[in-house]
Amino acid sequence: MNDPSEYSRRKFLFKISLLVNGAVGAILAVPVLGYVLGPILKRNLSYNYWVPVGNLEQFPAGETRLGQYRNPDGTPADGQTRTLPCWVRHIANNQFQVFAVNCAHMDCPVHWFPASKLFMCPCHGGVYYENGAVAAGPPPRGLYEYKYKVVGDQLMIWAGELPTLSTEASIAKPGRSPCQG
Amino acid sequence: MPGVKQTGLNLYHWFDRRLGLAKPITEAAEHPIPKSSSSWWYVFGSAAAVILVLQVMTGILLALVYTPTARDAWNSLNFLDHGVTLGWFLRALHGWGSDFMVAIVLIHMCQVFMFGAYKFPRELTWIVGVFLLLMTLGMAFTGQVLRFDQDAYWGLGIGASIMGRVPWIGSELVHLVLGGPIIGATTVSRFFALHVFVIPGILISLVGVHVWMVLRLGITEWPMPGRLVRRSTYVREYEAEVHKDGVPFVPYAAWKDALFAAAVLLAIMACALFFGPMGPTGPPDPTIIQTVPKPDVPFLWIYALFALMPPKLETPILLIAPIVVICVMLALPLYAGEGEKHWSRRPVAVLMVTVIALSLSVLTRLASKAPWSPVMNAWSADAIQPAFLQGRTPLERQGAIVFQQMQCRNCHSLDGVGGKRGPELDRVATRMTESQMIRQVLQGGGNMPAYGSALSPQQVTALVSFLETMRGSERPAQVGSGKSMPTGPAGMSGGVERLSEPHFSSEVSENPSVRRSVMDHQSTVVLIWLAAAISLLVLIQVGVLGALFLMLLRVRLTVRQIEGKLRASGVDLYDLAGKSYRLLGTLETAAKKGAEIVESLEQGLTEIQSRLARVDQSIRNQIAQIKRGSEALKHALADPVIRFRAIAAAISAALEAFRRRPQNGPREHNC
Repeated sequence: MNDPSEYSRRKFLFKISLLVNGAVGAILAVPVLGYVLGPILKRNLSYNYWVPVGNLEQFPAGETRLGQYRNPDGTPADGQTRTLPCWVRHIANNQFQVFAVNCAHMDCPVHWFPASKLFMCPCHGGVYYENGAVAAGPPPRGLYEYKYKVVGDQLMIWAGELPTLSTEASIAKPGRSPCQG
Repeated sequence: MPGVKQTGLNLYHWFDRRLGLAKPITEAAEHPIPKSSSSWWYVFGSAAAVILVLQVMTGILLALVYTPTARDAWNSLNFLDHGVTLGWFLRALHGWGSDFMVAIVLIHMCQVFMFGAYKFPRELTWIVGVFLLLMTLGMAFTGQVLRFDQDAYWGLGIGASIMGRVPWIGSELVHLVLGGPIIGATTVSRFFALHVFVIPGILISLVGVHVWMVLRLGITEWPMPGRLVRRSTYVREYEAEVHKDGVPFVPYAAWKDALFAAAVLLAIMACALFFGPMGPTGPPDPTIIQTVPKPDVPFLWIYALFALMPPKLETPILLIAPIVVICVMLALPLYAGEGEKHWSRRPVAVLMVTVIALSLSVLTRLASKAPWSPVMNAWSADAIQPAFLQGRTPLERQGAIVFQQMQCRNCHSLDGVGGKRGPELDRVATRMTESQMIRQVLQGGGNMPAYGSALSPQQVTALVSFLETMRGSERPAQVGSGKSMPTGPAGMSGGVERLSEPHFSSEVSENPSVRRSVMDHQSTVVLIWLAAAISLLVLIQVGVLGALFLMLLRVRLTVRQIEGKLRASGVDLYDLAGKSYRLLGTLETAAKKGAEIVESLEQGLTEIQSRLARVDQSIRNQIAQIKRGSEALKHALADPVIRFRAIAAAISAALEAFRRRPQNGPREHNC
């Protein structure tokens, strides 16, 4: 029973069993991690699609109106969250600016006030001009802006991702001077 | 009845023979604690555990009805509130239980910190406790998301926005948190899994480890000033105290825990009954943007910080501060595992708790008011007061309408009504001249948007005229005495001239140096107050510490002076102290020996006394025996003596008779 050779063999077998279990665990971890990290393994670009925001007649020239689009990656289980808003500014002659409703500070929804021509954020007081440039408050940049194109009488935007400072999904920072708009 | 009792006992023994839990449970319940620890201050940990049980129970019951999908969650909450018997009460219990749990865990943590209970050997108990706090906060946040309403939807946006600020891996983190590129079904199910499986699993396991360590290491004793924790001696001292003065946890301390837990449960029930469930607010429809999202109470202070922090510091603070705070909390017992436990000897600890508690309270209170946010509906909800229109010219009245319609009121108040983001404008004309006001309206600056493109020259004139009337009879501002304004571009300094050219340049208001350099008025005031309060506390504490330091310095100097004088007179103080110390040691040893001798003498005397007593007793016994013997002898001799006397008397009588016999016969013979 106290035979050292027997003892060492058992010890060796035990170590082998640990090794085998470790290997099996590592193999098992691959699909598990792949599943958990699935959302970040997908390439960013594939999240965005050209989606319709509405007919051009819904957005009169010189005005900023709330547009809506369907999340291109959505499912019926999304319910109401599948329909997303955006602010559409029709400058003139089918020249548009389409903004995300999310404040660049903390992603709260900004409201448009046509009389004062300002976007105001209810959370921490961020204010933007009609061209999306920061007017006041803590936002580190102007409103996020979607790429757009006009297809027939439809306004389409390149969207599908929640805009944040890392996932801007925008063409660029908005124009520097509202006078240019 | 005896039969039932016997059956019960038999059942109990049947189970215990197999489970073997009765003994360890009894031992755990009756584990000895220092008598000083059976205090009302030690009840918070068990209360938190009881609330956890309540949360698990109510959570399971809510899960019977709740549907964790983005499409149905909000509807199922409303169904719980209105379609299920007492569903609203269960929701209210779960919601209020969450707030109470966060509060009790924080209080428990403060108590442990103030009592120095995290010191050796309970460092790991504290570290596990820090993770328990994080898990509790994690439960509160994920729970808020599962109440999938407008606040939850936009709260998720805020969470994603914070993740988006992380450099390099920001977008990956956003997708990981949301379970995809955007808030939707996968987000809700992800938070459901976190709230129901992952975090509770970790939480319950860590509670088990936490309680195990409390039982294994014992409940900390009531701290005493000057009683230092040393790794080399603490365990021995603690065990000696528990051995000498310990009491079993059940029932000496347990009744207080039980009573407090019952009171907390009653308070939760009362809140649930009187205030009802939290939310849900509006449906989680992102197209309904007329909403003012706010986080739940445990996170209001963060909401306030976002508004008050200087924008440039936001991202570094957001990303670094939590890591630093958590690391400091984890490292605390490893850094300060020994030494004083009592709060009166730990002024920095008291200062920290005071400042943190004060800051969190002030920030929470501020966030409930949110003076930094524009009041989004002030322009349409708050009517123009008639007093503002009476006695005004048509132009001034038009100015009142402009003030209203251009949403000036969302940020500025008149007569106390309106937003608090900007300064109130009742007396603005006493601070600024007309041209300064015009320029401010047109160009903005000082954290105010420029209205140059939104207002016509006539509207600006009307607005400024109206504001001029608000100063009443007070003196108007003089040129050069008003508030200093941001400098506009060359040739644009005159407000009147600007009226003739009603376009505006955003360069001034968009200039980051101007926009960022001037903090919002309200925020500045709040920050100043906060900084003043903290500075005052720090100053007081520094003052107290300074005074103590000066006193110590004074004592030290006095000692040095005495030392110098003695040295000058040929006395070596250290030598004297050494001799005194040795003398004291000798005296102590002598005293100990003296005490031992006295003790042995006492023992000897006692022995002698007892022996004398025994000798005395034996003498007494012998005397009594002799007495008894002499008595018996006397008694035994009494009869022969009488007989002898009688014989003697008879002999004597016979002799007398012989002497008196008749004198014949023999006399003749003798002659």
